[in-house]
Amino acid sequence: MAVCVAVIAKENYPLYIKTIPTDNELKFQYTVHTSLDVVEEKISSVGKNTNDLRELYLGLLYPTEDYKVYGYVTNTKVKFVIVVESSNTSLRDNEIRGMFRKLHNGYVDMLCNPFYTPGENITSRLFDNTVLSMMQQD
Amino acid sequence: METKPIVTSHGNQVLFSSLHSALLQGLPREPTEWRRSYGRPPKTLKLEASFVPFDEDILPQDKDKTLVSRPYFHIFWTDCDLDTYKQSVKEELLEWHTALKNKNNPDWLIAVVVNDESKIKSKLLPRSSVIDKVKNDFCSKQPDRCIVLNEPLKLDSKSQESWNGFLGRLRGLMLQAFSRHLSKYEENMRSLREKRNEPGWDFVNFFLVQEELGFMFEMLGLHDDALIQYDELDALFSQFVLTQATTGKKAAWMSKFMKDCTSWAGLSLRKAINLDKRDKVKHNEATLLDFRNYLFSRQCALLFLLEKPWEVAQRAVNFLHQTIQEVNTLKVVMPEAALDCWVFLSCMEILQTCEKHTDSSQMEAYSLYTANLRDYTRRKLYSIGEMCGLTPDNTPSSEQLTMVLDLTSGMGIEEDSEEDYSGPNVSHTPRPRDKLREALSSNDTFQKIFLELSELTMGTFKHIGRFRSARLIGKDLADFYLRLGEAQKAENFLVDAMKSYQREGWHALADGALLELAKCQKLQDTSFTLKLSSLFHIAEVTVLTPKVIVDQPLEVEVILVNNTPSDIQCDNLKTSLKKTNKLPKLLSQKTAVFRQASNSSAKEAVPNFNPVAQQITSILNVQAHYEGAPQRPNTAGIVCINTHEVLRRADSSGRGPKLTDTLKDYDDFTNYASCDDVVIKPGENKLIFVQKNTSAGHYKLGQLWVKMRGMNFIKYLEADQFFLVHHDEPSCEIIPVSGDKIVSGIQQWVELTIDPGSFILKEGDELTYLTSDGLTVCQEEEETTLRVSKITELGHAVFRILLFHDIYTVDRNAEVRLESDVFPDPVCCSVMFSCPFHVTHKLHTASNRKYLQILVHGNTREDFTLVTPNLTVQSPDVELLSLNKANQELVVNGNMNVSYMWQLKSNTKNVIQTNLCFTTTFHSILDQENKSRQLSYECNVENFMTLYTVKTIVSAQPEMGTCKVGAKATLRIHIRSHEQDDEDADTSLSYQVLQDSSIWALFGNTSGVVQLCEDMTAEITLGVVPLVSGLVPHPPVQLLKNQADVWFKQGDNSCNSKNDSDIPMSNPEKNLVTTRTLPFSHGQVYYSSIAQQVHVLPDAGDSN
Repeated sequence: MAVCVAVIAKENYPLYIKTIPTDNELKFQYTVHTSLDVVEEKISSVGKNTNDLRELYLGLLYPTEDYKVYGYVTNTKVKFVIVVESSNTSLRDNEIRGMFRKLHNGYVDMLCNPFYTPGENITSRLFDNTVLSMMQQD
Repeated sequence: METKPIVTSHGNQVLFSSLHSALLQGLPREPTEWRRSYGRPPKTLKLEASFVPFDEDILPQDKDKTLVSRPYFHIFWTDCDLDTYKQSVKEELLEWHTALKNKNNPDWLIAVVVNDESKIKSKLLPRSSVIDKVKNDFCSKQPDRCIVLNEPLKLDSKSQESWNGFLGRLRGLMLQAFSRHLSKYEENMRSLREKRNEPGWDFVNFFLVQEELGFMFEMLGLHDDALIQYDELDALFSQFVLTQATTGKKAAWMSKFMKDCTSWAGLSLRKAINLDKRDKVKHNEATLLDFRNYLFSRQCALLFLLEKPWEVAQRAVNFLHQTIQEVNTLKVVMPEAALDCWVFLSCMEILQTCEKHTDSSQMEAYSLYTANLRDYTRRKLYSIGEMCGLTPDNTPSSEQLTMVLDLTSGMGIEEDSEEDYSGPNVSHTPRPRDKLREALSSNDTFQKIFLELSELTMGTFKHIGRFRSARLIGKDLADFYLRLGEAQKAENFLVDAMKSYQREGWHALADGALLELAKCQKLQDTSFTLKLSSLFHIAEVTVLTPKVIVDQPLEVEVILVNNTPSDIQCDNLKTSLKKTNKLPKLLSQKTAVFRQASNSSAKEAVPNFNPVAQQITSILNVQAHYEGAPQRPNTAGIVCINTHEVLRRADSSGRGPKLTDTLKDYDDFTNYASCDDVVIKPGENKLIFVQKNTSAGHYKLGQLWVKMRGMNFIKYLEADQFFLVHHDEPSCEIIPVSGDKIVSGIQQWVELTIDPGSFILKEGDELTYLTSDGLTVCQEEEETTLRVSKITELGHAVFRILLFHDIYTVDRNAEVRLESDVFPDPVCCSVMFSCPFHVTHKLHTASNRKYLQILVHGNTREDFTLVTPNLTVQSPDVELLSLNKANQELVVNGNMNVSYMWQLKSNTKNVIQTNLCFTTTFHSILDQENKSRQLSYECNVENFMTLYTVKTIVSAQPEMGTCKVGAKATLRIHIRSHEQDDEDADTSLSYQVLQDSSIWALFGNTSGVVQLCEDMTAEITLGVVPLVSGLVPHPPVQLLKNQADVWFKQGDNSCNSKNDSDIPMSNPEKNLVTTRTLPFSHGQVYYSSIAQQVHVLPDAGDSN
């Protein structure tokens, strides 16, 4: 499944990054960070006609030889990025969409916690579990 | 592709060839709409055709699956007349028709060309023309299969109309033929595809079938439809690979593509269709890479035809990734790095070809995809280099060299055959293969090409606004440079990367870059600067000496907490002291501190880039704040030091607060307090920073700089601690105790006040003095020290001393220098002495008698008493006769002068010059000693004996009696010499009547030379007219002596000399004598009438 899941704040700083395996976390951070270029590009290209209901799912941001990076932007411009291995052929567009939906729900649940201040790093265990469920091989 | 649908022609070949060119041109002139089956959108296309002669043998069988090479349409041409038709043409037609019918080919047309219009017209009977016959014979069911072409070689409108009709019919029928064939073909193809999972199905066969369809569409100019065919094939192949990967089921044909790959020649886009490759595929010789290369090159060719070069770039990345994926999935055996070579070569080929096809208008869309492609190329090159030992700190081993050779051979197999195709118009850019070879040839070229490529990629990313990607490449480059050992270059990239990560709030990345930076700086062996906070933190900063005097030590106490578990040896710790104009005020602090460090790193305008606005912290950072000495503070309290964060406007503040940059700039460390060689122990350390040699001013603590060998840590002391360093030079002042001036010549009490300025004088301190020439301090014993006995409230020391300044000292400015241990430099005090007297003299004359007056002007407010005046003369020939009262005491002060008078009597006339000395004794109440002191004055007189007396008489005209205004009077000037018996006295004199035109009008010679007569007198008479009435002084007369100057004419002696007695006057030819008049010295001429006046009556008749 996913090898890296990241939640990025509106201002593009990371709120949450989880990678499996953890030893190469920095590499994934670079990947996610770089993907923001494409995310921003996609947001700004759509954002012109404001009233349109924007498609939250941004699709494949960019492929590398080993990984595929997918993006998703909530209406509040919080970005989700999921990195999957290119060799994992079982993951098609629909599966990825499903993962993002799940992630979004998890994020919203986490956000509903009154003790969480939006913009802080996400430390919720529940959210962590949601993410882990998407990353574990099943 | 140059192929065109094939159309056969039969019948009258001569006729056809005359129409051939017109037909070729006419057919594509107008686009035709092609309605297609299965609800596909209609296409508009321009039909073209190539005409071949009809031959029964080339007619395809019904089973034939070809599309492109198939003759689609058949035309029979005839222009015969009825008789010929009946005789031969009908036969021919029938044969042709039957042949077609046998092949079940319904796509034909009989064209009857009528060259002679009149013939048709003349035939009145219907069904008797050729066309009627033909229609009757062959086209009874399909009347549209026969058409008349009227006089096609003429250019009139009728013929044109007939052409149009013909061409329209032809186009329509041809399209019908295509549709029929294509639908049939597609149906076949579909059924073939349906069988794809059956054993024995071969992908290559199917590929060729569908490709044929693609060719067909391409032939018809329907490039997008052609592309669809390839895309479908692409997808189908991918699907097969995917299925195999997921299910493990392997189709038999797949093994062809699983062969070991021995050639990794990159994609070649030089030709639209590479027939060699196609043949390879056709003959099942193609490897996976060959097949993919061929497929993608076809897709690219069509995309270029569609004028979408950027889509080539867009698809390229996907293509490469997918192929690699497939190579892996199918476990195609390839040498190490060969796949990377293939990627590199393909990328380069795509980039080069795209560049050729792209114009500037598409640059934006194009760059978006090429940037990624370039990046990919760059990475691949790097990994090849890594494997072949070409990266900076490696040297290729023999194995790696062999690998390079293997790789090179693997990519160059087709070199020659390809060169044949490339004509002279091939661009000069080196082929990707050459480039890779060059890169692999040596470490240097590898580095050069890699760096070139990286810079280009970074530039492209920046161009399309993907700054994060550019940064990543920058970081990669930094790694590369670091391996090259060029740490300086690496550092810039790293600093940039780190700053931008920091600004975006990606701390893990920033820290990663920081680590790299540390490595880099280690390599550079230069000092570098880090944020202190990780190692130490500052618990407290106290200024121990808030107010110091210049050059006194300034002390700051810093409690530094070492967060590490071990002792840290610091070479040097410094705090910068910043001069500030701001006076330490509690309220002004928060701005004073935090403004300074604000967004100093100018924000670059980066698209899609918002620096992170930090969350408002909910923690108040407070710190103790004192003002004044810590022992006795003026104010004490707590200050929130992060007010700027806490009280920040939460929203709409836009850019938000700055994120403190990790790399801080140094403060100005010209002023600093330091403490050297300290071991910082874990936990709290109390450090005292000391500073000397500060100049005066207000100072604020700036940064703390901890230096440990090559490392520097910088920390802003965000505390408002001020120093006041002030400095007043000690000064000294001397004022007289009584009187307003300090007077020379007497002993006078003065008060010497020393203002120690910033220094402190204590009782008992000793001052040594030193006086300038002529000034003495009168003290008992020969001491030169003063002992401070009392300090005034202001801290001044006051001494009362007696000063004596020699009255005869030329310089009235005296100086006292005081030296003491207290002061670093001697204190100078200048004293201005004034002389109590000012003495002048004056010579008076009364005919032959001479008098000398000595005038003593007082200079002080206080009285000075003068007694016993005395005048002595040097010359024995002069005798002095005192006219003063003896024993008279005269008082002189600033308001009162004293005069003394002596008569000078001379025995001889020859006293040229003599010195006179006036002495008197004086005493004053100012004088402390109150003893009589001597005042002396020297003067000299010269040429004071009277030589001539001048007398003037103004007399009216005898008949007038008295002078009247406007009436002429006589001025007589009488000159008499006193040296009547003297022979060598001058007898030639000059006179001058000084004219005052407001009083006298003069007639006659107002100046001139006069000769004394025998009796040594002379008289001059002038006419004068008084202009004013009343008592009028005589016109003043001046007597002058004549002096002859001799000008020598000798050339060698050009200077002039005075007329001395030696110089002979006897040689007038030689010398030029000019006469000058010179005034007599004072006293030599006695003007006896100088004060005389004449009474002038007003003129009665004069109104004035």
